[in-house]
This record gives sequence, C-alpha cells and structure tokens, in this order.
Amino acid sequence: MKTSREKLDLLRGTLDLLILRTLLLGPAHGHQIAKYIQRSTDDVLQVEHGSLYPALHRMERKGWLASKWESGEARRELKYYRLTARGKKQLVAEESKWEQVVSAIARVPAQVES
Amino acid sequence: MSIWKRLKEFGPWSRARLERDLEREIQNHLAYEAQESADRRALGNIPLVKEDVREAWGWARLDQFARDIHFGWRQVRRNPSFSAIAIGTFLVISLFVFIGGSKNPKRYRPGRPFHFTPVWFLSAPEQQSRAGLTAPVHSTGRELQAGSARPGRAARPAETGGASDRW
Repeated sequence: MKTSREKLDLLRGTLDLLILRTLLLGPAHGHQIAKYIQRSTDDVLQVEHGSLYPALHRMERKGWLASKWESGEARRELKYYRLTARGKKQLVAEESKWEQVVSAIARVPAQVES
Repeated sequence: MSIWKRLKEFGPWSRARLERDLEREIQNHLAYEAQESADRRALGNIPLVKEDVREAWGWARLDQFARDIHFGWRQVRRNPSFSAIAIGTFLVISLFVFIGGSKNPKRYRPGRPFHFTPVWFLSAPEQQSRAGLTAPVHSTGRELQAGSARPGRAARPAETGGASDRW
C-alpha cells in the first residue's frame, strides 16, 4: 500500500526524472533544460517554469545536482546545473519507478469505442 | 557533498547570496524569454516562483518559527503583567515537576515505612506451579514473591492478583 507521501513523490518524480534525463547529456541552465524538454517531446510536455526552478533548487539541495555560474551566450553569467554521482543514482531509481507506473497503467484494461 | 560543504552552501548565513543568485537566475530566464517571444507570462508569477524556490530551500519553517517568536514577544511587551503570571505559573509547575519527578518514584503508603515493598499474590497459584515456578514453601500458596514489586518477572501479569497493602 502506497502512502500519500509516496504518491506525491511519484508525481513530483516525473519532473525530476525529466530534469535528470536532460542533464545526462551535459550541463545546462534552467532555460535550456525547459526548452530541451519541450523540443524533445514535440511540445507535448511544457515545463512550467514556476515548477522548474523550485525543482532545480530542491534537487541541488538534495545533492543530485551541482551548479556553477559560468559565462554563457552574450557574455551573460548563467547558472549551469550538472548531474552529480548521487543524481545519476537517483536517475536509475526514478526510471525504475517510472517503469512501474507505466506497467501499472498498462495493466488497467481499457475499452475505447471509436 | 559533505555536511560541512552543505552547511556552507545552504546554511542560513548564505541566504543573502542565494537570494541574489535566484534573482539573477530569474532575470536571465526573463531575458531569454524576451528574446524568444517577448512574453513574460511564460515564467508565471515571479514572486510566487521565488516563494516556491525558498520553500525548496527549506527555510519556510524557520521563517514561520521566527515570526511566531516575534509575535509572542510583541504580545509579552503589550501585556507584561498577564505574561508574567502565565510565565510564572509555567515556571512554578516546571519546578515542581523537576523536583518531584524521578525515574523510580516511591509511593507513600500510610502506616508503612517509605521503603516498604508490597507482597504480590497470584489469582491462580495452580497455573503458576504448572508453569514450573514454585511458590515459597512456607507460604499459603497464594503469595507469589515477597519483596518483589514486579509480578511480571515471575508470572504473567494476567495471573497476578495484585499487591496488598493490608498484609
């Protein structure tokens, strides 16, 4: 039996998983992460930026991400996030959780009349 | 990340720096948004985003606690005599609890010395003997163990008849 806390974590974990997967490709700043998720899912998933930054800071605090201010495009100082070793472990855990959700949904019979 | 580094990076003393960084980060994001679509609404309510980030930092409870302390202190200053009575009552009760409380409290039994240990009886002595625990030979068979204040050591609590003060 899943507790409500676990259920909440599961929903939150979806955004975490997207961010962790994106950062697997290399360091990126917040805007790049949001755009990458949007583009790679053909605009199906649009990360609300109001959720992105709290998630990034939460994950940084947990030690899954590390950040560094670096000069990016247009000589602007940008905060780049990268995945830590702990973050990679978390990615494996989140992916396994996600697979559980997908398989659980697939087990629910669906009858759609067209 | 080591605990020391975490404290250094995210402790309350680094709050001003974190606030500055968050402001810069959001301004950068806005600049990108402005370049792309000139639409600031994509970021949503900026103060709300900041509030959510602060919550992710885990200081919301600390802030609430500080506000509670501040409010309490204001109430004390506003009505000092009432506060003095309340605080005094609390201190007196705390003092009595501190003086009276001990790990092994002794119960005063009228007519008995302070160190008197009650005698425990069995409600069913025959069950006790079947369990292999024998009652003292000189006893009537109904007393469990003189001098033991804890019946559970020799018999199950359900089989005891309780202590007698009228022995």
